[in-house]
Amino acid sequence: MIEKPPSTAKLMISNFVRNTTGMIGLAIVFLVVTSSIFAVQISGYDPNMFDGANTSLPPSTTHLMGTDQLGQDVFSRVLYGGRNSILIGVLASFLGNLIGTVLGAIAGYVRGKFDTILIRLSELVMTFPQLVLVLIFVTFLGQGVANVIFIFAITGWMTTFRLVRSEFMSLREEAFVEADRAFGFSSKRIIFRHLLPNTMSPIVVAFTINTAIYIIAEAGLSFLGLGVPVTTPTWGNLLAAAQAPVVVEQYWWLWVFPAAAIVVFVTGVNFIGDGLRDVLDPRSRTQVKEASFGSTLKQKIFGSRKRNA
Amino acid sequence: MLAFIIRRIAIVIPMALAISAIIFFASRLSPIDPLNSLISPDAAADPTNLAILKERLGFNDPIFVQYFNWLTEMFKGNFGYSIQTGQPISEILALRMPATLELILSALVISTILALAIGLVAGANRGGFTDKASRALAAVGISVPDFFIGLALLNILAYRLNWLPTGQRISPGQVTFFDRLPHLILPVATLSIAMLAVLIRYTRNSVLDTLNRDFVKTARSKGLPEWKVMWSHVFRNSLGPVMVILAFRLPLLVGGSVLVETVFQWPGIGSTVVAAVTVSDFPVIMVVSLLIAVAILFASFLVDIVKSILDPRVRLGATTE
Amino acid sequence: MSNILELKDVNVTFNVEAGQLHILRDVSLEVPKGSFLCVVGESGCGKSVTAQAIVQLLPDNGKVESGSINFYDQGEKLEINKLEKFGSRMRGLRGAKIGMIFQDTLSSLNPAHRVGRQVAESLLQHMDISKDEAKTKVIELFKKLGIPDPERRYEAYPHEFSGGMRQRVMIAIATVCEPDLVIADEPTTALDVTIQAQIMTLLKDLQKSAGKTFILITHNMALVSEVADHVAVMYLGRVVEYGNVNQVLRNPRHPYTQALLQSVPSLAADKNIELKTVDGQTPSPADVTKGCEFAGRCPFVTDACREQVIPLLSFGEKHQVRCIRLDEKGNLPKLSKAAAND
Repeated sequence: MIEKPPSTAKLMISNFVRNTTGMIGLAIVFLVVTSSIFAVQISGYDPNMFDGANTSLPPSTTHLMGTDQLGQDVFSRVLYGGRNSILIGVLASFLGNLIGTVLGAIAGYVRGKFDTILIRLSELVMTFPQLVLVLIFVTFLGQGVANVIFIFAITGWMTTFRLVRSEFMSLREEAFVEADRAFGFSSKRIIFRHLLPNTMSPIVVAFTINTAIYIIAEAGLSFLGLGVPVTTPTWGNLLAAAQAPVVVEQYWWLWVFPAAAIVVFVTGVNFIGDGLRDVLDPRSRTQVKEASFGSTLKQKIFGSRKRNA
Repeated sequence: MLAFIIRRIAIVIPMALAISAIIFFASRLSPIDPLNSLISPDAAADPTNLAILKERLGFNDPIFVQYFNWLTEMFKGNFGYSIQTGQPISEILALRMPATLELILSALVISTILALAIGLVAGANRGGFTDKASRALAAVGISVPDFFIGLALLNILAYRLNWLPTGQRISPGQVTFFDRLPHLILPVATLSIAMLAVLIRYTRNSVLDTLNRDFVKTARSKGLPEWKVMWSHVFRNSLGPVMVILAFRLPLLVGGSVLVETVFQWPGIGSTVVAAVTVSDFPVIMVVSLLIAVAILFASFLVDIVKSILDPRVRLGATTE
Repeated sequence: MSNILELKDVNVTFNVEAGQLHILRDVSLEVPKGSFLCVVGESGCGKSVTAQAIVQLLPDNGKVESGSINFYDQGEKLEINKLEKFGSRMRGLRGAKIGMIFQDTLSSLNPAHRVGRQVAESLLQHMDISKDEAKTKVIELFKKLGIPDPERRYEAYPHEFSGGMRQRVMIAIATVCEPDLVIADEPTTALDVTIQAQIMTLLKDLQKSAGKTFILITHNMALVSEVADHVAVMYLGRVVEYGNVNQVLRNPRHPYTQALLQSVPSLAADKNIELKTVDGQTPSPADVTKGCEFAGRCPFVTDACREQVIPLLSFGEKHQVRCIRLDEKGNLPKLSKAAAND
C-alpha cells in the first residue's frame, strides 16, 4: 500500500529550511530575481537610456559597473537583463522537463514499441552536440525569446525522459502498482495519481539543474549573436559585446559584470538543487557513489540510489 | 572480442543512417532550393541548362532514390556547395577541419590525462588538498560559462601580460607547428577547463567507489605496496565509469569548441557554422552537423571498445540498454 | 606448544556519524602454532573485525584503541599493532606470513585481471622469482587445490569461474607464499553445502599436511565441530568463551554458547535435545551498557550481571568463560522449568 502521510510536504519544507546550502541558494536566487524586477529603482538608471556624453566609462560611484559604448548604465542593464535570462532559463527548463516527463512516463509505463522508438530517438538527439542542434533550429526558426525557449526545450528533454522512464520501469513492478492494476484502476489514474508523485523528486532536481544549464546556454547562444535579438537585453546579449577584441582588451566591465551575474545566479540555482537533493533523497548525502554509472542518466543527477520497496 | 565489435557496429550503422536520413529530409524542408547547393553557381546561371541538370541530377526521381543518391555522393566526398560563397563544401572542410580537430583533440587528450591523474590523487587522499581544490574547480566548472573563462584568459594573459597571442591559429610569417603552439594554448586551456572539472569529479568518485570494493582488500592482504594497489587494482577498475562520462561529454566538447573558436577567432568548423547560421547557409550547416554526429558516433564506438578492454565482463553480456 | 599469535585486551573502535562505536572489547586470544582456531558468533559480534585488526586492514574509520597483537615469526616477536599500517614491515607480513581468505569471492577478486595474475602477484611481491617461475608455481598450486585444467584456467577471468572454484582461487592467493598463518573469514558462507564441505576439507588438509595455523571466522557451528582444535565464542565484541573444541562443544559453559549450540540442527540431533533459537535480538554495539552484554537475553541473569564488567574465569585446562553465574565447577544454576521454556 502507498503511505501518504499528510505531513510529507511540510516535513520536506522544514528539512529544506534547515539545509544550509539550499537556503543560501534560495537567498541568492531571491535576491537576483527581485533586483532584476526592480532594476531601474535599484540602479537609478533606465537601462535603455543613451547618454552620448558618458560613453565607455569605467566603474565609478555614479555608474557602479560603468557604461557601454552608447552610454547606457551597465549595472542597470545587468539587472534588467536578468529578467529575460531567468525567464528563458526557467521556462525552457520547465517545458523541457514537461516533454521529458510525459514521454518518459508513457515509455516507462507502456513499454514495447513506443518505448523503443523513444529511446532510439533520445539516443539520436543526444548524439548531436546540443549547441549544434540549437543552431540548426535557429536557422529554421529564426531568433526570438519564444523560439529560444522552444528550441532549448525540444533539444534538452532527453535527460528527464530517461530519468522518468527508468523510474517508471522500476516503480511499475512494485507491489502497490500491481495492487492498483488488480483494483482495475485506469492507466491514466495509476500514472498520474500514483506513479508520478513518486517520481517527483528527481524531476524537481532535474528542473533546477536544467535551469542553470539553460541560462548558461542562452549566454553562449546570444554571445554568438544567434540567440535573442540584440534589442532584448539578456546576460548573453550583454556578453556579446565581447565579440569585439577591443572590448575584451579595454572595456572589461562590459563582459565581466554580466558574466558575474550569471555565475552568481547559476551558483544559487545549483545550491538549491543540491539542497533539494539532500532533502528529497537523504541517501545521496551519505553516498559517494555518484560515479557508479549504471544503466541510466539518473545517477548523473542523483548518485546511485536504490528505492526502498 | 570480435563478436563484441561486430555487435557494436550493428548498432552504430543504423544510427548513422538514421541521422543522415534526418539531415537529408531536413535540408529538403529548408527554404532554399536544394539544387543551389548541389551545382556550382556558374552552371546554374543558364535556365535551360538548369532544367537539364535538374533531370540529370535526379530531382524528378522518387524521394528515396534521391536520398540514396545523395548518400552515395556523400560517401564520395561530394558534399555540395555553400550558398554564401559558392565554394564546394568539401573544400571548406578541408581548410577548416584540421584546425578544429587540432583544438578538440588537444583539449580531449590534455583534459583526460590531467583529470585522471588529479582525480586519482584526489580520490586516494580524500579530503586532502587536491580533493578540496578539485571540488572548488568543479563548482566553478558548472556555474561559469566556458567562453567567459576564455575571455578572462584572453584579457589577462594575452592583452595585459602579452604572454600569448590574442587569437587566430597562426601569426603572419609563421610556419612550423612550434610557431603555432602559443596560439593553441589559450583555446585549448579554455576548452579543457570545463571538461576537466567534470572529469576530475567523476574520476575521484569512481576511485572512492573502487576503494570500497572487496578486491582492494584482497590486494592489500597480499602485501602489495599502496601505489601498486592504487595503480593496478583501483585505478584500472575506476576507468570504466569515467569512460562512459567521457563519451557523454564529447558532444559538449564539440559544442564548446564552437564558442571557443569564436572567442579566439580560431578558423575552424565552429566559426564556419556560426557564420553559416548567420546567413542561413543551409547546405554547410547540414553537412557539418552530419559529420559531427557521425564523428561522435564513431568516437563513442571507440569508447565502448576501450571499455570492453578495461572490463572483460562488458564483452559478455553487454548489449545496449 | 608455542603460540604464533596472541591478542591481549584488544579494543577496536569505529568512528561513525553518530559518534564512536566500541566494536571489540578487551579481546584476548592465543593461537598455538599449527592449530586450527574457530572464532564463532552471530553476525555483528566482531569476529570479522578481529580478523581485520590482526592484519591491520580495518576500514578507514576503524582503529585499534588499545591492547597488543603479537605475531611470532620463527620465534621473533612482532608487535603488529605498532607497525605502520602500510609500511614495508607490515606488508612483508601480509600475504607472505599471514594469508587472508574472504567470503564473497566474486567481489574479492578483481574482475579486470586474469585470476592467474592475481595469484602470481602475491608471489612476485614477496619472492625473488621471474614471472614464468611464478606462473609455473601458481599452476602447480591450482592443480593441488583441485582446479581442473589449470593452464587454461590461469588465463581466465573471475566471472568465468563457479563460486567453489573462485574460492579455490582465493585459497591459492592466501597460501601461494606458504604463510604460517591463514585467516579465513567466512570462506564458505556463499557456497552450496556440498561445495562447503569440499572447501573445508581442503583447508583442514592444508593445515594438517603443511603444518599451517588456521583461524576460521564463521557463524556456522556445524563447521566448527568438523575442523576446529580451539574455539572462541564471541558476543557483541567480547570473547565470552574460549577453550579446546571438546570443552566448548561437549561442555559449553557460557549461557550464550549453550544457546548457540542448541540452535544448531545437526549438533542438537546428536545430543537428542530440543532445538531452540536464541531468544531476543542481538543488541546494537551502540547501546551496550557496562554489565554483561548477554544480560538482556540470558535466562540466568541476576542484577549483579548488569552492574559490573564480567571477568574471564578459567576452568580446567585453559577453558575460559566470561560469566559470573557459574559455580566453582563451572556449572550454571538449575533453572526452574517455567523460566527455561520461556
